[in-house]
Amino acid sequence: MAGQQLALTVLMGLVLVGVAALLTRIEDWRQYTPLAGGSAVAVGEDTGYGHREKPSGVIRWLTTVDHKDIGILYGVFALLALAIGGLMVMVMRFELITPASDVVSAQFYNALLTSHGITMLFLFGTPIIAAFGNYFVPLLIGADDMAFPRINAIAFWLLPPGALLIWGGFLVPGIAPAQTSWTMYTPLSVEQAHVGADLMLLGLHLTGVSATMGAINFIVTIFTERGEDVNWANLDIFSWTMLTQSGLILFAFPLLGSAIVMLLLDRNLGTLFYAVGEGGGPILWQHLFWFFGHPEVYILVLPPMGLISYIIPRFSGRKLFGFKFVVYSTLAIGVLSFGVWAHHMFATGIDPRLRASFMAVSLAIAIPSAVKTFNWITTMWNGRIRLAAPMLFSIGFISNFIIGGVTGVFLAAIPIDLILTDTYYVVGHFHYIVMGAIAFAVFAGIYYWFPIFTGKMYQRTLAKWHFWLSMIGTNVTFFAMLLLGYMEMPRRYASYDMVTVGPLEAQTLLHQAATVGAVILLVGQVIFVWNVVSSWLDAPKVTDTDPWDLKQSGLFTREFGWHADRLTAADGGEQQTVTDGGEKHEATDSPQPGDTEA
Amino acid sequence: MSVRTVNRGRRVVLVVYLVVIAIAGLMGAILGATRPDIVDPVLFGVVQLPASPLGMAAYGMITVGIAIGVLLGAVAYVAARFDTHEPGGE
Repeated sequence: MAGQQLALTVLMGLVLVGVAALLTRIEDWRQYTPLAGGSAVAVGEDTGYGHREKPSGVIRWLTTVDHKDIGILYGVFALLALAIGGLMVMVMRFELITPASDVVSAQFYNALLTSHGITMLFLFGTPIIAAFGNYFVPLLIGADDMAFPRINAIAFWLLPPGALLIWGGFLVPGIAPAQTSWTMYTPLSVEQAHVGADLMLLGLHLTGVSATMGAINFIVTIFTERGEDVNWANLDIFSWTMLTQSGLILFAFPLLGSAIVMLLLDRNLGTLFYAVGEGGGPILWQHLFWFFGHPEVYILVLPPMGLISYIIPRFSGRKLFGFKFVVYSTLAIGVLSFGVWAHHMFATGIDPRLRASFMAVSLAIAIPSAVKTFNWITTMWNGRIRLAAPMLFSIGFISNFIIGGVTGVFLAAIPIDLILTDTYYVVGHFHYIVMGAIAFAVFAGIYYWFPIFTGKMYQRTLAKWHFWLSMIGTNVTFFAMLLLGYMEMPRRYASYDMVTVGPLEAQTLLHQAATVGAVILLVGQVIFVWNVVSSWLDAPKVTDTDPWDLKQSGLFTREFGWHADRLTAADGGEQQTVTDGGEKHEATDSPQPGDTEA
Repeated sequence: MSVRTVNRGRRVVLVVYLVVIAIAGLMGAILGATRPDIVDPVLFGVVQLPASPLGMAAYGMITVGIAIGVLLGAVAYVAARFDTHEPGGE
């Protein structure tokens, strides 16, 4: 047995050496300069815009350090994770059509529930934001690339192994996946003996390291790599939100990493960090987890808010109303987000004086969020609105954000929280934010910048179908969940035939409505995937240097200046091929200083 | 900027406003129909409404309508007084 293992280990080592040798023979990696610019249009496409230094095919994507390529990699990864997380929840929704547990086992349901949460937050939410950030922050601030291109690549390449570890329990036969829920509360997560939970914790740790490296990169890039004409006063709103988000990551994720290591030690080496009695107890885990966990909410929502603040003015034909106040509210949310974590623990029996102070800060954080909503609506109020897909998703964001936000304010009040905690009301509330708002902003961003990162235009009718199905699906699903919460339906249950609170008939009906909504959502996302893939592959190239008619309202910005330069260069114009980043050229459409504001 | 295109912005915002109020009303009606035993709608702590679908729908729509309506009024006021955007210019 031992001999066999030794032989296997040696064999694996030889295979790895062979792969390394093969790669060095195929391509000489060292010849590529990290700042080699280039177009990130369809794979292998030659636009003549400065990527002759790049290898072709798969090797390009494995070795790239170009911020736009890495942005595309992040985006593809995140959308795959969205599909996987979405399919997981579809199984759960079908399970909940009837009160009894008759589609999957309760254990498998718990595993899906755990994995759905972790996948959506860590493998879709954070990476898709990094996708936009990587692609567009350097373009928007006039930088050649990210400050640390290689670290940028490392940060991305930590994600796939992280994902494999997180899903390891499903992928490796013979070991059960983690069933801890995404909150991983102790003592359950310490005592659950599945190897899948260890793998998940390790994977989560990797994604945390990845996010931290990315955040450091964004902070340094925005501080030190801005173009000469970009200052703090005219820095665009999306970069402001990326900067604030990166600051939050820098303080939150390392703490999660430490807490996870302690949990792993408790699980595997018999330490007692979270042990009842000898150690800090389960409450220690909850404090550490939520000190990360609540800023994580804002880590996920601030850049989408930045996208909305960026897109709404461009389809309203006017500058963002109260730009400064939107920036201030972003910073205020960033600071306050570290002072609200214990509102997730109102029902744990912590000191009532502590609870009261956390309630006050939790209510206060609604103010900067409301300031943003106020400014978006005021921008639209006198605007010449064009209801293109990015704008539809932005308006959908506002509508869903209001519902998710108002339901959240009630949860911040201790007496209401004590009644509604651990019910579907909570699930409905935060899904209005994560699906109804964050994912909607992501879709708005994808459609808005589709001409830039694909060089093509999406199919408008399909995009509108995508919007309406998503809007209706979101509201049917999560509205039903809010009602389920009012009927005291507990969350995280695979079956509810034994639930004795509330009228079972009405609860079953609402669960069925939520499942119907989820199916509508699924159909919408299938249309989205079809639209993106078919448009990317088959649509004619965009030849318009200003596909959204931004010049008309004076809101033409740097990234579209870069797009215009690319088109001019591809047409055989006399323009000099330069590193990417939207540096100014003669006779181009590059915007002037100050254009980024709004 | 024509009057029609300006009105479009306002129309979209008002539609979103009405949709949100309608959702509040729908929630009230469903709660009034399914859990009349646990609801006791007292509008602004003063006006007692019946614990019926209609009473709860009115409660939800009036409360949310006024709360968000005040903010919407503020939007209209601020947009009229302090919005300095010049179309076509920066």
